[in-house]
Amino acid sequence: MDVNGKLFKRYTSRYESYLKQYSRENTEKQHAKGKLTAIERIELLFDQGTFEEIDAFMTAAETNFGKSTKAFGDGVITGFGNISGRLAFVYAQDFTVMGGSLGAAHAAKIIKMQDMALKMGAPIIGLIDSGGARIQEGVASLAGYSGIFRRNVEASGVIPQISVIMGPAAGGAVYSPALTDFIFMTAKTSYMFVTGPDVVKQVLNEDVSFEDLGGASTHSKKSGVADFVFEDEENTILGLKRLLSYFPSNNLENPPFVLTDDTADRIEERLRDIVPDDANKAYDVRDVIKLIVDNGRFMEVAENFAANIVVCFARLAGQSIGIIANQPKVLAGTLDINSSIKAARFIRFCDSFNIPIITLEDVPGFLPGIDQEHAGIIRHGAKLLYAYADSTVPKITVILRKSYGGAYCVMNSKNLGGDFNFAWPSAEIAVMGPDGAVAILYRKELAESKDPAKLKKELAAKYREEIANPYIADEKGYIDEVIDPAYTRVKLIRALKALENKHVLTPQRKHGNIPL
Amino acid sequence: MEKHTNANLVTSENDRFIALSSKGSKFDFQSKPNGSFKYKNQLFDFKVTHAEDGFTYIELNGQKYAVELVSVNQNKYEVLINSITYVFTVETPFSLKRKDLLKKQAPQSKVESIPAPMPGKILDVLVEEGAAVNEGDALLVLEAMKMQNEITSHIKGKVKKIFIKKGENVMKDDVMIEIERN
Repeated sequence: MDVNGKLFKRYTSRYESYLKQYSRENTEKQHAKGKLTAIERIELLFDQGTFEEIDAFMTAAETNFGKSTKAFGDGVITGFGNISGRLAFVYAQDFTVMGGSLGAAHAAKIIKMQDMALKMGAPIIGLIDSGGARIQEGVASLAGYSGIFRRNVEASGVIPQISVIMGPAAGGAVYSPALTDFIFMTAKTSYMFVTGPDVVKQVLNEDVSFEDLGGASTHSKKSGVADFVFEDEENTILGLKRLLSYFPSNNLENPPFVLTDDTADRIEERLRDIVPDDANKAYDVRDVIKLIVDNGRFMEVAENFAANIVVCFARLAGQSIGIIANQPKVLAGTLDINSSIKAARFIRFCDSFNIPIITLEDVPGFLPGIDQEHAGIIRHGAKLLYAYADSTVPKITVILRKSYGGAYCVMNSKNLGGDFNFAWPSAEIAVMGPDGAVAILYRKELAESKDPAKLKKELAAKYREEIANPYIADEKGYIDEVIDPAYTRVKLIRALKALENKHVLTPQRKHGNIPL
Repeated sequence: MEKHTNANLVTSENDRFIALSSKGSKFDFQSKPNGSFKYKNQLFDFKVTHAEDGFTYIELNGQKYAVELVSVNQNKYEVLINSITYVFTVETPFSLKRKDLLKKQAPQSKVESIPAPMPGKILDVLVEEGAAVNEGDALLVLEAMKMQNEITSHIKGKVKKIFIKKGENVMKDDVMIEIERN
């Protein structure tokens, strides 16, 4: 290159050899596995032409043991750019260089991004495709991980941190994603585990496949590690961009307002018929969500894990909201260990990033059972309770149907800190359901009755009429208003508007002691 | 300097997309920057309008069609046009390639078993052995926690074996029905 008569020979030759790394051969190797290359993923992620790479020429530290790499970048591409017009930082591990393994230089690059993202108040995204710690670099690579973890924690609740697993993530590598806010996985080509199938075989003599041990389906259904699973990498990245659209760039900003053509005074009569008359019949609470939110669009988190609670992001009159809804269709909408943890973590995220929380409640109680009690439902249920009570963002509850016992208290009840508590006329608010209550209150009468079944039915009906309805709670002020279901959207939008400048002063303390 | 010019990027094809119908047919489109698209070398102009009557209309080369978007899940769409339902996924050239690749690599197990999600009582069995079922079809009604839960098939196939009877109690994870994929 010849600019103003000066020779930039070294600049040019260095750049040429850098480009050679992105050879057709390496690209095809990734493609043959059904995976994209790191640079292709970055191209998909950022607005066209906005990505700027940093530390492209860093190389691996010298080692005396085993193979080393002279590849530029040391197996990770780092930089920044715009996603839908907003600044974001990224690190994308490159599996074609030393299997994307993490050495000292690799870690230093990631850490530089983390520090920058935190300083600039912008989200950081990790595109993970790595064989784990680079064995030849020994403790230096472990130190690298530790530095990354520390910064994950430092940035937690300050900037959104999202991990996208697009290949293997094994050993220590899984804990950085676990510390971030959300984990995406691409089905069939990504894995996460602390110890791989080979070690499991050696130690426990158990045969297990990669997919069964730590594939996307395992983590989305059984472990709850993965929040989002998409069928291919393009859709994974599209999903990530959609999720980001609900978030502010940092905890000092409010989420972006998105103009909507859905009117704020839309009356939705279909909501009146959605809850079945028979209290034992289920319905899909997602149908309720769809009818309330802007254009029926919402993004569900961890839809296949603890499906008895639905948590999702949506918008109301253009404002980002987080919704927590009991799902009567699954486990009757009871709260159990997994659903408590899932909802609690979601609330903590919303609270960190100024996203108001809307609770749609239809909960018969906590799930009874030996396994639940023994596995510590008391401990885990307390997480949800703590998360609700501790959060200071606007909090609104709508009781759709059942609201019984301890579960009433937990699901953002008035005295736990709900700002607005609404109920539909179909709401049943009481210490326990009609059948259980009648059996305790009229034990003697039922035992002596000639036709206990008939008497029980009569008493249950009376109980429903006199106790398990929303009107007593309304008259005592525990419910602010019993509303016509058709007006739910209208009421929620007005309540949110009223809460726009909600401000809560919390006492000085280092931090609370959430029952982890 | 133009970056990564010699990389064989799949993103260079990102104006091309393929609609893959549930029946397996492929429709190859090329999107144009002004909102129109090209299909089989023919240029189509199209516009989406949300009318006052609550319907959505697609205008295609001047022709108006009433459409309803029944469901969108990731890249899977269910669309109702002139009372015919179309189910399709939108693929890119690479995602389609990946689909074929992964299908070849990992043949799925033929028989899927449906376990009880929670302890309860079988209120009704809605299918018989040998019956063909689609994804999302109800198989049985399980009463648990005083609630009736419809258990649905998550794959398309044939009911291979039914292990339960109406009125029976099941424990969590008891296999209730086996379905053979087709």
